[in-house]
Amino acid sequence: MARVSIRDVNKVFKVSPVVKDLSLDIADGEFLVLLGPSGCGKSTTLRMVAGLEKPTSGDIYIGDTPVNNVHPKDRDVAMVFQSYALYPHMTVHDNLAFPLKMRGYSKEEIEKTVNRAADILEISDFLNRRPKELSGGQRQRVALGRAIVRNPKVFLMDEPLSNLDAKLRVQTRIELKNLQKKIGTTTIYVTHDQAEAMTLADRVAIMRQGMIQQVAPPTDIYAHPANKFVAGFIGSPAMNFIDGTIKTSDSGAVFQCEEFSFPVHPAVSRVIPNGSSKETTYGIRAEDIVVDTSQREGSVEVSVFGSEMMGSEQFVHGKSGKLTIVARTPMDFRASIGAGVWMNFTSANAHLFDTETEQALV
Amino acid sequence: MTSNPGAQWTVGKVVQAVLKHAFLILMALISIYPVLWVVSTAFTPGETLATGWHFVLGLVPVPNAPTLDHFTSVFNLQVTGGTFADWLRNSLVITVSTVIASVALTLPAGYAFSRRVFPGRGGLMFSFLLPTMFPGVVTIIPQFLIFATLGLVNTYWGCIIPYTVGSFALSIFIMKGAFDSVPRDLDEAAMIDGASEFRAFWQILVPLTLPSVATVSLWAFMGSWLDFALAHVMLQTNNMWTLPLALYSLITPTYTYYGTFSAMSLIMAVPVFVVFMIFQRYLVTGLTAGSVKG
Repeated sequence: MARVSIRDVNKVFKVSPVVKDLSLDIADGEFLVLLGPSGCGKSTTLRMVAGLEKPTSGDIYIGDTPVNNVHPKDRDVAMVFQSYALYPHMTVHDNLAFPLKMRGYSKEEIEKTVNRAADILEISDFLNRRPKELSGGQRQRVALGRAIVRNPKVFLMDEPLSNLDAKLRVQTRIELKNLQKKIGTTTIYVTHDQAEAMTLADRVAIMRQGMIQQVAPPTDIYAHPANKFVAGFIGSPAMNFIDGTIKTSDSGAVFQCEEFSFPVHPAVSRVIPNGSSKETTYGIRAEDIVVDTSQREGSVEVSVFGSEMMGSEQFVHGKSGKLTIVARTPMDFRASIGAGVWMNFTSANAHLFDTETEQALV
Repeated sequence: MTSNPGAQWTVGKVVQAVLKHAFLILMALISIYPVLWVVSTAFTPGETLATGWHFVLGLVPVPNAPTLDHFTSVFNLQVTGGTFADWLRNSLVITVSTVIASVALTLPAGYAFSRRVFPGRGGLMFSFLLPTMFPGVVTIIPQFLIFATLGLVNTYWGCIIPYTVGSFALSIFIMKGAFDSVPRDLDEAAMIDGASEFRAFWQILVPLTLPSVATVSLWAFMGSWLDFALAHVMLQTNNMWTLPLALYSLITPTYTYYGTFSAMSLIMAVPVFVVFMIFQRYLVTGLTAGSVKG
């Protein structure tokens, strides 16, 4: 186990900067998830820690050792690839034994260690099979097995669950989390799937265009996104954004947009000085909107243009002018397409973002 | 014949299938027919072509009294200072060395062209392909002059080096394609697992490209085992001859020893046949490796 420190790292491919001034400290035993859309630089960052890419500038430390010029084989990290990267010409046993052989373990030690890893991952029954004879889930376990078998300082995982079907993915991510807690190895995990990030991570680092947007525990990221990008990226369905102006007065705060206006909760408007107004983006999650079929004080009318039944809940999509809003309702809420419903946006959990900088104001 | 479930055999389809198969059988017969003559001649007494046999079905030549005399003649053959044993040894040494050298050089070269980015990569690849655009005989005289200067004429090296270099272009191309078809994740995984670049290459990549290695080996084998033109120029004394040169010695201005010639041709074809049989299943895979992303 070891902490990992990434300091002012830049990576430029030809002339395109892929990672920009990235600094990140991952504590010993921490499970850190790098989350972001495709092309945001998260995999490149992971590959730089693995030694598969060299930073254009900046330093990477594993423990107290600078590793910029250390070959991948000498970094004592293990990596699980999206493709699993199992050696097709070797049996599962030989795949697991390969990293041990490379490090000069004796035959007895190899047998003992391979069997222990196989027991932990419940793959003992197919040690003599080749990867092509395994299902996707089994291959994934073997890939994990090859990573844990030699007790490395750091686990690096590059979207390891993305090739599994939805059900198996959920099951495996729970197992993965338990496994990491049990072994306690520092883990850096790359994904574009926010559900994986939220369930697995001790902390999530959200990246965009090569830069870190926010690093925080999942609940903090969800409740207190640092900017509009993070707010929109985390949460499903995505947060609703309404551009307009907030005006505060003694009688309370009101948010005015092109389509309508509504009162703002004091917990949200407190950041705007009394008696002033400011152009902002109002952000509110689907679950913080109250939907009714009749008018209530502070509600605004929108026309329903779609609904998604999710089983225990329902997402109602409403439209007013150019603005579209999605709100969560109980499953028994009935609203036909084209009908008007009333939505209340006055929530203490709403967010305000600076229209220009997109940084969170509250 | 194969059929799709539920497909109906109409008269038209049957006629089409019969014609198609008849055409293929005819082509196969045309290809194999000269070989039948060689086999018959090799087992027919006397050195004259087309006497001492009869035709079955009016086409297939069959010896009247089959004999192994010509094979004995081959093994006892001597041409002033050179024996069959010398020629067989020379052919084996040159061919085996060429195969080993070709594989040993084209594996790392293919790997470098596939995995490394270096200045002039495209130009270098093209420079390997360039000589293949000219007829092979064009290069024989310059090669002879170079090897004469180096004192390598009438030595094994005088053949091994040109044969190896001659098979380079296609072999590097094949190996590059083979390495391209192996996902980079595998060598990267091996390196993270503790392998040096060489071990990742040797223990992971090479075993996965064996079909292409087989193709490269076969290509080098055929190029050296059966070559006549270069050997004819480079190997000047009778004891340095390879088998194709010895075979040629059976055709003299005054007489051609057809029986011995045919027997020797068959003996020379045996290794080719055996190697083809062993590597057959790898060949198609090797030649098409990398052509489709798997």
